[in-house]
Amino acid sequence: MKTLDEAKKWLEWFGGVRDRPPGGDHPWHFWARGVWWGILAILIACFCGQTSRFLYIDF
Amino acid sequence: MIFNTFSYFFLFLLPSAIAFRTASAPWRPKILALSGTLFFVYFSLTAVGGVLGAICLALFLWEATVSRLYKTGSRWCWVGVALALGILAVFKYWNFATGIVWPSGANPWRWSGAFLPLGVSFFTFEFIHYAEDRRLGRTEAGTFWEYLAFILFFPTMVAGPIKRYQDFLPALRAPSPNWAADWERGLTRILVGLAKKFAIADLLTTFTVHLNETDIAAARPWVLPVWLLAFGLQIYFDFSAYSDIAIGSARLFGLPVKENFDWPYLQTDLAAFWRHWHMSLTRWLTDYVYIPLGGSRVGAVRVYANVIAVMLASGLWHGAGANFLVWGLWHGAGLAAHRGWRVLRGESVAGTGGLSVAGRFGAWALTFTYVNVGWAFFIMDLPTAGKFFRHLVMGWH
Repeated sequence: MKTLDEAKKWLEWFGGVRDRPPGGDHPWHFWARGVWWGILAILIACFCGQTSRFLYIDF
Repeated sequence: MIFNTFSYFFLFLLPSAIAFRTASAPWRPKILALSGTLFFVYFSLTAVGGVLGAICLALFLWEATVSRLYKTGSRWCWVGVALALGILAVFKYWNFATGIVWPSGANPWRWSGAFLPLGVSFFTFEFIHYAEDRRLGRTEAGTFWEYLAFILFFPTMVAGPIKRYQDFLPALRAPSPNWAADWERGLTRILVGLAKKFAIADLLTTFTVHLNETDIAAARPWVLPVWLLAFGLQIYFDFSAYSDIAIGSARLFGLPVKENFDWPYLQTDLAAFWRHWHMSLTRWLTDYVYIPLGGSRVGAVRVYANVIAVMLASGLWHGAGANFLVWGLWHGAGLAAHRGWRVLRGESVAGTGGLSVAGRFGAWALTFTYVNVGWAFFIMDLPTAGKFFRHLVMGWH
């Protein structure tokens, strides 16, 4: 359970939900953020254009 | 649509957020109201509702004007609630309701040009919240422009999270001054939302597109749960992605918006699932439907009836169709059964209990399965859902 909680906190930090990662800030987090933004940008570029609507917009 | 368009980011979000943050305090509500107005008109004309949809901007102006009459104990608050319900009834439920009275296509009252104003399901809930909270003296009035900024705040206008004026007003008056952190976290949130939408939710359409009568009839029964599970994952990633973008967008303004999802699929009972899924709606339904009905402070039978009534209302809000009512009933019955089980075992209704690891896993599996089976009534109409389950259980065609 402790591992799961820790994993959730990390995912929340990577997801932008949490302001600080578990255990506080470290210098390498700056680079981790940069790499993460790069990965997200690549994912978005690869998969965008499928033109589907959001399901919850006046269903 | 909207949140995954360049127009949203470059015509609306970035210019408005920068203007809001650089403006002096008296101008901030006006900037939000103006940008929300332009957003509503632009996306009504280009995406939902057309010219008539754009004219529905008048609903916001009317509401903001009438809202000045809302005071503690005032009857005008009831008028406000009735108007909001009337807007929902006309735009969302007119054909559904008249179709019940005059079924089989012979409905003389059918509105053939029916359309949904942008975000009608969400902004009406904010109208009701404000009127009711003013009536009960639970929130201050704010100014005309502050209230207009609240109801026209475009990041949350279309699909929530459903805001509360008590939370919004202090933030509007004193937005976060920390540009760097807000923009770094906000942009991360938006990027994650877009990636979830494009790379996961949209990809799952490969499976969910088959949830129709023809494909179900032709499918092998074992593949049906896979398609349904795919929809369960798709709706989560899709709507949580939407909420991510909305919350991230609001953060660019320095305005915090409450979370809408908190790991709902990891919950170990149905009540906990609803406390973690579409949280702003659950809170709204609790405050403005469940508690006024008596909540849990009435006799046992009434409490169960209230739980089911709230979920029926939730089902009907999600869509004007019999399948949505069944979906609401499915969850209402599940919540009532969960409550009954807790009471029978002498446990706290809201507690998680002292389950072992295996017990927790079993409870999680049961909850996850129950929720995902329920999605069948959300994605398919009743005849198709019936065929789905018959084919699943008995392999019928």
